[in-house]
Amino acid sequence: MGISLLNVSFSYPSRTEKVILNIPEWKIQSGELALIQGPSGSGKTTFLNIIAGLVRPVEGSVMVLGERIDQMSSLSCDAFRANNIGYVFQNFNLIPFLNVVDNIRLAARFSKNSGVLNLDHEICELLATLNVAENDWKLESRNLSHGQIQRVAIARAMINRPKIIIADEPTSSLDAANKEAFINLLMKLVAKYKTTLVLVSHDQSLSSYFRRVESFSDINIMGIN
Amino acid sequence: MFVKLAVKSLLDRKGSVLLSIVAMTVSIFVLLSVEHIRFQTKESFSSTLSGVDLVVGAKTGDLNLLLYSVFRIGKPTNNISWKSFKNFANNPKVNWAIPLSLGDSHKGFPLLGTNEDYFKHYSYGEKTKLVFKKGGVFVRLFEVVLGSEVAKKLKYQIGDDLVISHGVTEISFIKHDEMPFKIVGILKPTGTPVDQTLHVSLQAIEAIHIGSDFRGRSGEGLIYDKTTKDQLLEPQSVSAFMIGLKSKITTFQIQREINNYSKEPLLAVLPGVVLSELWKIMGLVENSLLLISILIFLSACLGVSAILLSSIRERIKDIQLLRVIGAPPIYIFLLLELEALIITFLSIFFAIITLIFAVNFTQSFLVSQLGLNIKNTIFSELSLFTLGIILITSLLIALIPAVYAYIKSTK
Repeated sequence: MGISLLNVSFSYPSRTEKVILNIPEWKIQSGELALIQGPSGSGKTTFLNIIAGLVRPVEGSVMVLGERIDQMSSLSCDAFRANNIGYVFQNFNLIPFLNVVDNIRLAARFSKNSGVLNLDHEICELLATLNVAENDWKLESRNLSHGQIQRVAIARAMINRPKIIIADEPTSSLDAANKEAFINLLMKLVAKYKTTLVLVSHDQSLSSYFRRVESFSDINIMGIN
Repeated sequence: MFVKLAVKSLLDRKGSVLLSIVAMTVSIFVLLSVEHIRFQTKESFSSTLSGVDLVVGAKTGDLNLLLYSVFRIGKPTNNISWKSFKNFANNPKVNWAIPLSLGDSHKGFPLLGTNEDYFKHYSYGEKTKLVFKKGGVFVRLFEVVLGSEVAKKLKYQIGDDLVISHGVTEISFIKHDEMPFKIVGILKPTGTPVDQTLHVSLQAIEAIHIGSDFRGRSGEGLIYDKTTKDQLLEPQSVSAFMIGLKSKITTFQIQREINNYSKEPLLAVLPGVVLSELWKIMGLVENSLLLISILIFLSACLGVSAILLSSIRERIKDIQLLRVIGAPPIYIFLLLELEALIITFLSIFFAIITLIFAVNFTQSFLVSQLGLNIKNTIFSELSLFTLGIILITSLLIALIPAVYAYIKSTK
C-alpha cells in the first residue's frame, strides 16, 4: 500500500468548530498515479500536507508506505519525508538566492539516500532529462523562467528517488506549451522510477494523463467551504 | 551546504546585513579599544618603574610627583635644592639616588638631566636594566643619550648633532642653539617613557641655562664630571630624585624623614602605592567607559537580532520549503544562529583590523602627548576572553529570531 487515510478529520487549532477535512477513507497503491481535482479553497493543500506529514490530523490514521506518519515524532516525520516524499508546488519551489544545482543538492542534504547516490552525476542526469540547459545550472533560481523553475522543481523533488511525489497545482502558472512539457517530463520520470504520484489540480486538461482521476469532493465529504 | 546556505542568505540581504556589520564593528571596536587601552596603560605604567623605593620631589600631590618625574606627564611645581638631594643621597641607609632634572625638550621629546647612576640603577619591567643599542653613556659635557623612540622617529644616528629647546612643548621660541649636543648613545627599546627621552648630564643642563658666555669660559669638549673644576657647573637644583634603599624595612622611616625635612618642603612617595591610587581614580572612568561600550555592543547585537527577525517574514516561504524537503525546525534555528555568528565574526575581524590601524596611527601621538606607550599587539588573554564573551552574547541575543523562526517552522 502506498498511502491510506482512514476517518481523517482536520480543523485548525484556532477554529476547532470548523472542520476543514473529513475523509472516511482514501487509498492509493504504490506506483499508482492519481489526479485529484477540485476548486480552490476546498482543502486540497491541507490534504496533501497531511499525507506529507507537514500537518497532523485531529482524528484518524494516515498510513504512508506502511507507516503511521500521523503518529511519528516531528524529527522522524522530517526524516521520513526527506527520504520518501518529493513535493512540487505551484510557486516557491526553489530558494531564490541558490543556484539550480545547489537547490537540488540542498534537498539531498536531508535524505539518507543521498549518501548512496553519486549526487553530482545524478543532478546532471536529472537536469539533462528535464531539458534544463547546462548554461542555466549555475544561475540563481530567481533568474529562471517559470517553466524552468517547475522543471528544476521536479529534479529537486526526484533527487532522493522518493517513493511518492506530491504535486500541488504544479501547472497552474504555466502556459500551454510549458504545461505539456512539464507533465510529460514528470510522467516520464515517475514511470522510470515507479513512483506513486498524487497530483492535485483544478485543471481539467490534465485528466488525459491519468488513469485514476478523482474529484476532491468525493474524498472530502465536508465539500466546498 | 549549511554554511553556504547561511552565507548566500546573508548575501541576498546585502544592504541590511552590511549596516548590521558596520554597527557591530563600531561597537566591538569601542569595546576592544577600551579594553586594550586599559590593559596597555596599566602595563605601561606598572612596568615603567622597578626597584625604586621612593620618588622624592618638592611638596605637591603624590600623583603629580609621580606623573612628572617618572612618566613625564605635567610639570614640576617647584625644584628641590642640590644640597637636599646630596643630603639624602649620602644617607647611609640609601643604596643609590638618581637626580632628575626636567624642563627642556627637543622637538617635543623631553630632556632629562641626570648622572651615570641613572644608567646603572634605573630598572623597569622585571628589574631589567637599561641597555645600549649603540654607543654608551655621556662622558663629555655636550653629549646626549637618546631613547629608542627618539632615535627612530627623528632618524638620528650616533655622531649627529642636535639642539635643545627651552620648555617641554613641541614648538619653542627659545633654543639653546649655540650649544649643540652630540649623540653618543642610543638605548634599546624599553616600552617605557625612557624611549621618548633624551638624557644629558646635570652639568649640561646647568651649562645651557647659564647661557652663551659659558662656552667662552669652559670650552668645548669639557669633561663634565670629576675633572671639571668649574664651580659654575655644580647643579643648583633638581626636579626630583629616585631612591633605592639598602633595606626595604627602612622605606617608611626614610619616607618620614624626607617628609619631615625641616630645611625644605619635600615629598617622598612610594611608587607602587601612588600607582594603586591612580588605578582607583582610573577605575571609575574605566568602568564607565566599559559600561558604555557594553551598552553600545548590546544595542548593536539587538540591531542584528531585529534585522534577522524582520527577515523571517520575507523568508517564510524559504523556511516552508526547507521544512518540506525534510529540514527539521532545529536546522532553521541553527541557520539563524549561524547567520548571527557570521555577522559577529566579520564584525570582529573588521574591528580588529580597524583597531590595529588606529593604534598604529595614534601610537606616536599617545606617546608624545600622554606618555602612553600603547602596543599594537592587541591579542592578549583578556582580549581573547572579551572576543569569546562577544561571540556568546551575540549568539544569546540571536536566540530571539532563531526561536521565532523555530516556532514559525513548526506551524
